Amino acid sequence: MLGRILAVAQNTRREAYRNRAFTVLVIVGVLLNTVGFVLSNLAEPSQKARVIQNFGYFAVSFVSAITAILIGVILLYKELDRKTIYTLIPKPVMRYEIVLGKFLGLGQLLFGLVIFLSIGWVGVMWLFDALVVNSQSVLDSVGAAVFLVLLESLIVTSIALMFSGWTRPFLSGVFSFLFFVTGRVVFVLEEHLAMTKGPLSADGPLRQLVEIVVYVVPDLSIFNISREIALGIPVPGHYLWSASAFAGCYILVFLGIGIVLFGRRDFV
Amino acid sequence: MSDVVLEVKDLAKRFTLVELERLLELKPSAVVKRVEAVRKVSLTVPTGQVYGFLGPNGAGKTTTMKMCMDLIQPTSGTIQIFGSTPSDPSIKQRIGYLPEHPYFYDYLRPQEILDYFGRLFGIGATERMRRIDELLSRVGLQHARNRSLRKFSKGMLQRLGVASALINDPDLIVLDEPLSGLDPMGRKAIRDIIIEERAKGKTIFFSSHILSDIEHLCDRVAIVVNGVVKREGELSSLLQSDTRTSEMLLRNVSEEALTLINAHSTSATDMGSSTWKAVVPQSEMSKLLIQLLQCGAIVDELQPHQDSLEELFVRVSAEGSAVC
Ligand SMILES: Nc1ncnc2c1ncn2[C@@H]1O[C@H](COP(=O)(O)OP(=O)(O)O)[C@@H](O)[C@H]1O
Ligand SMILES: [Mg+2]
Repeated sequence: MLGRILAVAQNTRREAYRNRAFTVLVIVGVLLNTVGFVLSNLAEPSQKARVIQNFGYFAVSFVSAITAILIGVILLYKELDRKTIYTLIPKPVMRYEIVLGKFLGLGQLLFGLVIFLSIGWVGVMWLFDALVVNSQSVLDSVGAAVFLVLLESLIVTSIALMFSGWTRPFLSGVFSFLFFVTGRVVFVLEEHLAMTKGPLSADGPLRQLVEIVVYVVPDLSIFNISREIALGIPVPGHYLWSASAFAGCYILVFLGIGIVLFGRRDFV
Repeated sequence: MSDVVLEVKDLAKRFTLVELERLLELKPSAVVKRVEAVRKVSLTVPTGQVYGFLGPNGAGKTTTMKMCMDLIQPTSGTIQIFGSTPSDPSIKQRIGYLPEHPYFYDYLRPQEILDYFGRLFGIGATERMRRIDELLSRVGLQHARNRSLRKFSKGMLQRLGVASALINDPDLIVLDEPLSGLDPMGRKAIRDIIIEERAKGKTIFFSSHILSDIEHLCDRVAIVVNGVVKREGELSSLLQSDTRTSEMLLRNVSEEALTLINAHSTSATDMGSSTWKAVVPQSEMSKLLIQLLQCGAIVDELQPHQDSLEELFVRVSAEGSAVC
């Protein structure tokens, strides 16, 4: 079983490396980092370090999330649309092994990508003396940030896998993207729900809908700690633990649903 | 080992299509469309034979094969492969499948594709290398083993498809239209592979809408029309049992005899010097014979007329369309 999952994972990685979209995304990540220190020259000297830190962080988290969605969706889209899945299903590989292999392969890919971009980020900060804020090293929180970015992109990957288990490829891309965007802003909706005034305060149908959305969609903002980095606040270990547990639960649920749906799907 | 590899009973598949674009017509019945791709298919594929699955385009061959390959769930009916169900991984280990249009990962090279599939079958690295070399040369692709698939022609993809169907040295080889889209060299290469595999004791189940492929290769055939198997059995006995005419060669045919012949035969050919060749339905035969002898005609030859597969196929297809 492990051998087959690893074979699927390896093939998934290989496909991604050879995909032009992936190359483009890596280049975008590198460019964003570069833009950071160009812009920092325009900023006030006191803000310089901050601009570099933020841009690097943005580069890592944005490029990873987009890669998770785009590559996850593109690869699955191609597998179903080009019907290469036809040659896979009749092989002695269980359908759940295919889903797990894809997840593992994409996870490994994202891991490599996040590490690569983070090295660039830290490198730029080191070059421009931005590694220290309020006489404290940012490296700890950078480590935490990178870890959280990885967790977030794994959740997004599992969402993409879940949708591709049942809908048409194009729809699964759209759904995954909507899910991701909603996840990023779901905390805003939560704040609105708590308010006594405003469009969502009354007991209207919209409020119920939003309540369901808040309930179902994972709050991805917990994986974003740009404030802590900017202010040099260390991220406590228990925060990372609970974020991991949170991510783990969602990934299990999404992959589980994906496996069940994929297991019943007709490949016509 | 049992002597039947694949047994299909009363298989049916109904596709339900939801055509959202027809919502505008405001008729709920127009939105949901049902297609009966396979209505009643029963097959028995014995071990070690070449089995031809013959039918016109759209008859349901591909759909039947996909159900056997665990790609589609049947609506009703049963499939037994090696005494188990199609989804059983241990029987998948013994099956090789060529889909109708082989689709490949176009970012991989032939060698990498075969290696990937070999890994899925749990074949060790050295053995994989050996088989890949052997298969690529058997299908005539050794020169292109590291070429990008984007540069492959349809025929080359088909050859690669056959190679990947054989990577696990399968006991049952299922090929969906293996000979279509190939040049004569390619057709010969694949036909040779089918014959070689049978010689090794393997079972081959393949579909085609081209009669000559089936006629020359198969021990047993099924003819499917409109989702229903109309004939199934040994090729030779099918051709015989559908014999309903006899061919007679007559000498000394008088005017009177000729009128009789014209009235009762399906075809009559003047061979010159009062000699005629006539094809006569079995049912008319005895009556006609007696009358002809009374008129002084001499019967030189009389033999049951054996259908060619083509005649059988055309007749069976016509039965099918008459039903619908
Ligand atoms: N996914 C599908 N949805 C709806 N109809 C289908 C589908 N696949 C096949 N059909 C229909 O089922 C019939 C049989 O198709 P198929 O099995 O491909 O025939 P064959 O392989 O004998 O040419 C055709 O009429 C085809 O249009
Ligand atoms: Mg077909």
